[in-house]
Amino acid sequence: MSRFDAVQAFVDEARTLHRPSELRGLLDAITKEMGFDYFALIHHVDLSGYSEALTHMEEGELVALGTYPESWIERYIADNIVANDPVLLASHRTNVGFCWSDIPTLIPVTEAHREIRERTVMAGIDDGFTVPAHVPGEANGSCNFAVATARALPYDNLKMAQLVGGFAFQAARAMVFNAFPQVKRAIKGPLTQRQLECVLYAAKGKSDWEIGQILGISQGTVKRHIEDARAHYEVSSRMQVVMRALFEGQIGLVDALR
Amino acid sequence: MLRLIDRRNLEEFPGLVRSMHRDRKRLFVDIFRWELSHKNGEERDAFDDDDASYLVFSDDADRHIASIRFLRTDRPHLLDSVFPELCDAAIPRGPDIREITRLCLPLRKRDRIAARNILARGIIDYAAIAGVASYTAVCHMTFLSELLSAGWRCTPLGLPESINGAPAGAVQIHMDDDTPGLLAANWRCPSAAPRLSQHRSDLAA
Repeated sequence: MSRFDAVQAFVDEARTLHRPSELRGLLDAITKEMGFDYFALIHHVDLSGYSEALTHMEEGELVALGTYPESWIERYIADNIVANDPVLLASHRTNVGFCWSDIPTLIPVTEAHREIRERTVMAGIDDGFTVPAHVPGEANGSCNFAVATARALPYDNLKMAQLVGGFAFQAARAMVFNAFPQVKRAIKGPLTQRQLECVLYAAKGKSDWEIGQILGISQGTVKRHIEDARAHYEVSSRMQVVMRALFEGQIGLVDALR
Repeated sequence: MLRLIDRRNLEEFPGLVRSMHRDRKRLFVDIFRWELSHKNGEERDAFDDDDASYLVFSDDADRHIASIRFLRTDRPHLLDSVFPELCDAAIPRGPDIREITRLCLPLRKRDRIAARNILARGIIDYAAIAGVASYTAVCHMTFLSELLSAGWRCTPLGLPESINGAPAGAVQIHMDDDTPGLLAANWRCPSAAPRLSQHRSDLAA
């Protein structure tokens, strides 16, 4: 099968799938066919709602689907690396696929970024190619393809990866939005300015304490604002508050993730 | 207004058509830096001929806000004449396939999304009226995620290649019976948004 035939077959089949686990299987197969070892398809938001059973997607909260080593996913979420991952930050600076070796041309790389990269390598993920998936008015996202330690990037298949990444993200996105009942998506109206500021920093992965430091208010006040925003949207988690604010265009994505 | 402009009614809207070519020059040449021919501040090419038709969204004074150009695929068009390398499979051609080119949107984000959605509805309405089964287009990879987010059935026609230094690929957007229903919520227009007017176009005749 030619490279393009493989992409076409992937796109056709991805459209017929309804379950995130099926999409994971399909994407895993083409990831390996392209010569990568792992993939991660994610919205760049607080990933604490992630569950291995993928209920976070079936309940319509966010796209987070992948085959990275489980121990690394756990560390990644526990340490909230999503907020400062140089790969994801670089993906906010472009709309086309890039090799991780090009990250320094996209963002200023800090000591903290180098440390994250080292930890990624230690976890067995050496190099990669990231396809940004930015949709106006929604959380930024990306499809990341990676190779295991000491394996070379499959440079001949990057064009293929560009297309597969873009179509895969849309397939995952459609699952999440279709799973999210229309009723729950009814527009709830704006948050207050203070609530918005707190939600914006929460979207950037800041803790209540950090938000308090930035805004010059107490941790308890921050907690109350986010709690009020949660009640306003009638949702149960902090992550859902962020998603709702993003969905309703209350906070800008580019700003939130800058 | 959202007008369908073609050979039959083109001369009725000279100001609107000129403002479209001016905006195209500003966007494609001055801002995107595409290597396109232009004259007197207006961008036009060999495909802006008698067989081209346009979907043009205009303001109250009938000045151009946003537009696209439809080309017939049973005649020379961009995919077959300029970018044939973008199709790995056969180039889709036929009386029920149009090529969408020269998508020209406002720069301000808020205006851009509103105009995009009005054009998208116009594209779907036009397909229903003119019997278009699918559209082909050259899509810059920077725009792919946004294009797919509309929810309509979109398939690739080939692997992306670099055009003027930026990767672009050919895509086909299928107009199926369920396309209007598939359209994503953030691609829909408010009810008051203008709908396609075929006033004195070929289609109306």
